[in-house]
Amino acid sequence: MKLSFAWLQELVELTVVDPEEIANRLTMAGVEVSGIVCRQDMGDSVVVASILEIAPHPNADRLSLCKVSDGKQIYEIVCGATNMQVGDRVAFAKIGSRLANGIKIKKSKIRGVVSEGMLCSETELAIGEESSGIIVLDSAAPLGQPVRDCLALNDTVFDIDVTPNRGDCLSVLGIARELVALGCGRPKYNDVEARLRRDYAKVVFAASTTGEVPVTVKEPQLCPRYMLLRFDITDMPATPMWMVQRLVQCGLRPINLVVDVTNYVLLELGQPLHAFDFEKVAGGEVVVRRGQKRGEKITALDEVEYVLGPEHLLICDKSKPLCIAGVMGGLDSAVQQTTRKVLLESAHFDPATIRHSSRQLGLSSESSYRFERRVDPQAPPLALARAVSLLAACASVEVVGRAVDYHQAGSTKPVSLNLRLGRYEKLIGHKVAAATARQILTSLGFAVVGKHKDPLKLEVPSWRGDVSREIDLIEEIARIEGYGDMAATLPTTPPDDEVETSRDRLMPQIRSYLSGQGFYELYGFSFLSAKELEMLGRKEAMQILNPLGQDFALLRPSLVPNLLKAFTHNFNHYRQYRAQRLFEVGRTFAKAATGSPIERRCLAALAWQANEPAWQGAIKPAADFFWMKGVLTGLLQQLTHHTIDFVRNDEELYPFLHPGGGAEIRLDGKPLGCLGRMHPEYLPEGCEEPVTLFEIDLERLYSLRQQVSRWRPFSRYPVVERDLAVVVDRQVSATQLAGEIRKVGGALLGNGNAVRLVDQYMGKPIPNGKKSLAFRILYQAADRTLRDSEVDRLFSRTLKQLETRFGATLRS
Amino acid sequence: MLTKLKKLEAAAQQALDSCADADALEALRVQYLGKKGELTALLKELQSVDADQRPVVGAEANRIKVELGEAIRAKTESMDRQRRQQQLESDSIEDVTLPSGLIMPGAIHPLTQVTHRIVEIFHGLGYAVADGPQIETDYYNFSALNFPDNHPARDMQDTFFVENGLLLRTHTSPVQIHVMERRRPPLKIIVPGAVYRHDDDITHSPIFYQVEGLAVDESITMADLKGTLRRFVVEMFGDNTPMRLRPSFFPFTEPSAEVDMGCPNCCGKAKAKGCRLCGDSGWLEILGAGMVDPAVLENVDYDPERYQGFAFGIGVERIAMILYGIDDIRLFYDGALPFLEQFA
Ligand SMILES: [Zn+2]
Repeated sequence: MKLSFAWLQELVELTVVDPEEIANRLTMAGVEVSGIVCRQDMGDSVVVASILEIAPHPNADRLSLCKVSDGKQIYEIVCGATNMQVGDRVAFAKIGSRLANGIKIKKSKIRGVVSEGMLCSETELAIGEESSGIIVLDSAAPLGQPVRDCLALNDTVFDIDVTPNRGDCLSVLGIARELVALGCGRPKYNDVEARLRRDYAKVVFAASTTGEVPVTVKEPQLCPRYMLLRFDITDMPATPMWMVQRLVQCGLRPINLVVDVTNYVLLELGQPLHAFDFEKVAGGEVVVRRGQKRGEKITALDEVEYVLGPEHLLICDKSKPLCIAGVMGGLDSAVQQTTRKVLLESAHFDPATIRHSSRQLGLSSESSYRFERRVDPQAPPLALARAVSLLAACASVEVVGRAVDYHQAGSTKPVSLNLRLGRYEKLIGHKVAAATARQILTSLGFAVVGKHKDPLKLEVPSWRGDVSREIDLIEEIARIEGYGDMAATLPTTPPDDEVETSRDRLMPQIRSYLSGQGFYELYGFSFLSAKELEMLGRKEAMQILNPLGQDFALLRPSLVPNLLKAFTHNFNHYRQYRAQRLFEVGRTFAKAATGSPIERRCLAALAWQANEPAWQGAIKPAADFFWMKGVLTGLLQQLTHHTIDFVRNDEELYPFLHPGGGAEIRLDGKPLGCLGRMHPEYLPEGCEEPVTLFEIDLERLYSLRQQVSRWRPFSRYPVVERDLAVVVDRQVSATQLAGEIRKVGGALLGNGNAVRLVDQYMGKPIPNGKKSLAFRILYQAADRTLRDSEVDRLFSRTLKQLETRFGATLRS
Repeated sequence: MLTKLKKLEAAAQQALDSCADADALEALRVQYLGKKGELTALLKELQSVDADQRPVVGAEANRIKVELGEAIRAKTESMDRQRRQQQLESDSIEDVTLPSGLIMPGAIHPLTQVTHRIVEIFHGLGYAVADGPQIETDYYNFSALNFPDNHPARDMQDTFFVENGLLLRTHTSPVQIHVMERRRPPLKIIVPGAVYRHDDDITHSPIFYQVEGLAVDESITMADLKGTLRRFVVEMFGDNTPMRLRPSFFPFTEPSAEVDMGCPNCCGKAKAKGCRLCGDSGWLEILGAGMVDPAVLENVDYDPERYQGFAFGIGVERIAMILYGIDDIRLFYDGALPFLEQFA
C-alpha cells in the first residue's frame, strides 16, 4: 500500500517528522515499510504558466507553437500535445530545469524553430502514467509558482506491506492510529471525526424522508450493514488537482469527481464506497441477495462478463445485478461524466464471502482487498459523511431524501477480553507493569472496563477484528514495547528423546561416497512431463492440477528424467566438461491403490566419459556398465550386508535403458532398482559414448535393521591355488559357475575372495555360441594345512559337477 | 712354500681387481677359497712343511685366506650398493607435476551442505530430526495451523494442488502437527525438507527448502526463542553478526516475528548507498518465527494453559545465497556443472 506523508499529517500531529524514522518505527512494530520515495528532487524551475496562444508549427503537422507566460515573461515553446487550450494553466519546465525522469531541459531547435523550454506530461513529473498529453493544472494555480508546491510534489510516499491480519492498517487513518500508539504524535482524527459526524447529521438527516430508496437485505449474515444515500449533482466538474495528485500517488487512476471521491475516502478511511447511476437502477430499489442458481450475468467495470451464482453476494435492482458486492460494480450502472442522479453505497460485508467471490471470479479490486481483510463495521456512516463533505466542497450537490441505514441487530457489539499479566510474563519471559499494559492498550484504542488491575478487562475497538483472544492482547503489548529489549535465553528443556535415533546416517554416507567417486550432487524439481513419464515406461503419476506448465504437470515417479535433463543441459552448453558424473537423492511419488500417495526416497546416478585421448599415465575410467556397477556395488557394500544380485533386464521393465545393456538390481531377491546404459534414443545429439546410470529405492535400505555384523575367525593355514578354465554355452553366467564351484568347495572356499573370475574369452578356437571362462580358486582350511591330493580330488569333482550342470568342458 | 703363497696372493689380488660383476667375484671365491680352491689345496700341503717353519707359513696362509675373503665380500657389497643405486636412478620420476589419472572428487550440493550445518547446530542444542510427507492434506498444511478457510493469510502461500483434493506442502510446518499428534511434550525437533509454492522467478523457485524448528514444553518463552535464534545466527555467520526480531504475522504463531541479520555485504553501514544485497536497509530477512499459537496446540489436544513453545522456519536457499553471495535462486536447480563444481 502506498501512503502519502502529507496526507498522514492531516490526521496526526507528528512529533517525529523524519520519514526514515517514521518508517523504522512502523517496521519495528510489525507494519513493514518496504520503500520510501521522496519527490523533493525536482527544482523550482518547473513552474505554473498560462497558455496565451497556440499556432501550428510551420514545418511539422503534428507539432504546435505555444506562447506561454509565467506572469513575468513570455516564452515560445514547441509542443507535441493536442489536449491544451488557450487559457489553460500548464506545467512549464524552463531551460536548465531537471525533470523527475532525469532529463535536463536545454535550449533546442525543433524542426527549425527554437523552443524555450517544455510543457510537461504526468510521466515527466513522475506523478502518473499519462504521457500522451500535457498535464493541465487547476485554473486557480498561481502563475510562476513552482509546480512542485502547487501539486504537493514535495511529499514523501511510503510503500507499506500490511500483513493479512491487519486490514485496519489499509488506510491513512489506520497508519495514523499506529503512529499515535507508537508515541510518534497526537491524533487529529478525533476532531476530524467529530466534525464529520456533525456534518453527517446536517447533510444526511436534515433532508426530508421523501424519495428514500427502498433497500432489502436478504442476507443479513453476509451484509450486516448497508447504507445508501441518494443525491443529485448539477454538473460534474473536474476533480481538484490535489485530489487527483493523491490518488495517482497511491496508484489509482482518476475517473470522474464522484468515483474519485469514493476512492479518496477508501484510501483515507479504509471504507470502500460504491456509486451507482440512479437512472440505471430499475424500479428505483436495491436488493442485497445471493446470485441465482441458474446463473446471472454482469459486465463489470473491467468490461469482462462474469457469470454469477448463489456463492456470490450481489447488489441488485428489481431485475438484475448492479454490482458484485464488495468486489466490482457493473459497467452499465457506473457513474459517468454525464450522470446527474447518484446512489452512494457504504456497507459492511462478510470477509470470507468477498474473498470467495474475488478468488472464484479471478477478480480483485481495492475494495475486495480491504473487505477480505475486514473493514471496521462502524465505518460506513463516517465514510458516507466524508464523501458527502468532499463532494459538497467541489460541486453543487443536493441530497435527496435521507440515507437508508440497514443494520443487523447486535452486529456492532464490542468484544470484551481479560488479560492476565502473569500470562504475559510466562509467555514472553519478563514482567509487564499493569500501568504499561494499560497505557499501550488504551493508546491502541482499547477501552479499559472497570478498575480491576489484574486481570485487566478490555473492550476491543471495532476496527481490530484480529483481536479476539488474550494472546492477541499479549502480542499487542509485546509488539508496541518492541522485541529489541527482550532477553535472549535458551530453553531449559533437556535434549529430545529421539535426538540420536532420528539421525539419518544413510544419506550423508551416500553423498560422501559418491562425491568421493567423482560425482556431483544436484537438486532437481519434483515435476516431470507426460513425455518423460512415457520414457520411463510408466502409465501413471500423480497429477498437479495447476502446474506451472505442461513440462511440470506430474510428480516424478523416478529421478532419472532430472538427471538426464541436467546431463543434456551440460552436454549442450558446457562442452568443456569431457566427463559428467551426477547424482541426486530425493523423493519420488506414486499413486496408491488406497490411502495416501506413496513417497519414497531414491538415489540415482549417471556417468558419461567422452572418448578422447588421455595422457599415457592416466587411469581411464570408461564410465561403462561395469565401471558403474563397481561404483554401485561398492556403495551397497558400505550400506548393507544383505545379498545383492544383478539380473538381465530381459523383461524390458526399464524401457529407458539400452535393450541389451540393462540389469535389475535385487536385494534379497526383490527388486531394488536398475542399472544400465541409457537408451541412445534419449541422448542428446552428438553424444556417441555410452551414458550409464543406476537408480535404487532407498526406503528398502532404510527398512533394513541396522546391525553390526560379528567378527569371524580367519584361517592361518596356507592357501592352495588352482586355475580352472572351462568352455560353456554363452548364456551361462560367470556368477552361476562361480556359485557351483563354491558349492562343491564348501567350507574350503568360505572366504569372500576364494573364487575369482580372471578371464572371459570368445572367438577362435572356441566354437561359436560358446565362451571360455577362467577362474582362480583359492582353497584354504580353517584348521590344517591342505594336502595336494585332497585339493586335486575336490578340483576334479568340481569339474565333473560343472560338466553335468552346465555342460562345461575343460579348456585344453 | 712362502713364495708360492706370495705368488698366489698377488695373482688373486690381480684377479679381484679385474672382476666386473657378482658372478666373476663368486667364481673368484670358488677358485681360491672353495673346497677345491687353490688356497685350500696349498693349505693341504702344509703337512709337508718343516715343523719349525710350519707356524710361520700357517699364519701367513691364514692371513691370506682371511684377507682375501674380506676383500671379496667388500667388493661384492660395494658392487651391490652400486647396482641398487643404478636401479633407483633408473626408477626415478622426472616430472612430478604430471597429473594423477584418478578421478577427482565431485561435490555435495551447497543446499545439502547448508542444511547439514543448520541441522548440526540444532542437533548440538538437543533437537531431534523429524520428517513428513510432501503431499499433504489441506488440514495439515493449513487448517490445523490456524489458517481459516477463505482467509487472505492463505494468499501468503500460493499452493500447488494435486489430484484427490491433496496439495504439495507450502511449508515444513505440517510436520509440527504430525509430530505433536504422535508425541507429548517435551519435544524439540528440527525438520529439514522440500516445500512448494506456485512461483517462478529470480528470487522464487517453485520448490525450495526449509528447516523447521519446534520446541514445546511447560515454560519455553519468547526470550528462549530469541536466544535460540541468536545462537543459530552466531554459529552460522559468526560472533559479531547483528540480529533483530521484528513483529510480523503467521497464522500458526503468536506473537510472531521476522528475523533479520545484519547485512554482511555493507556491514549494516547502510547510509553508504548502493548495497544490492540489502537494498540499503542494512538488514537481511532470514527467517520467520514465533510462539506456537494456542489454537495450534488445541488442534493437537495440548492444553495451551499448560504447554507453550516456539516454532521457526529457516529458508535454506536464503542462508546459502547470503553465505556464498549467490544472486539467482535458479542456479541451485539447473544442475550446471560450472556451478556445482565450485562447492567441492
Ligand atoms: Zn547491505
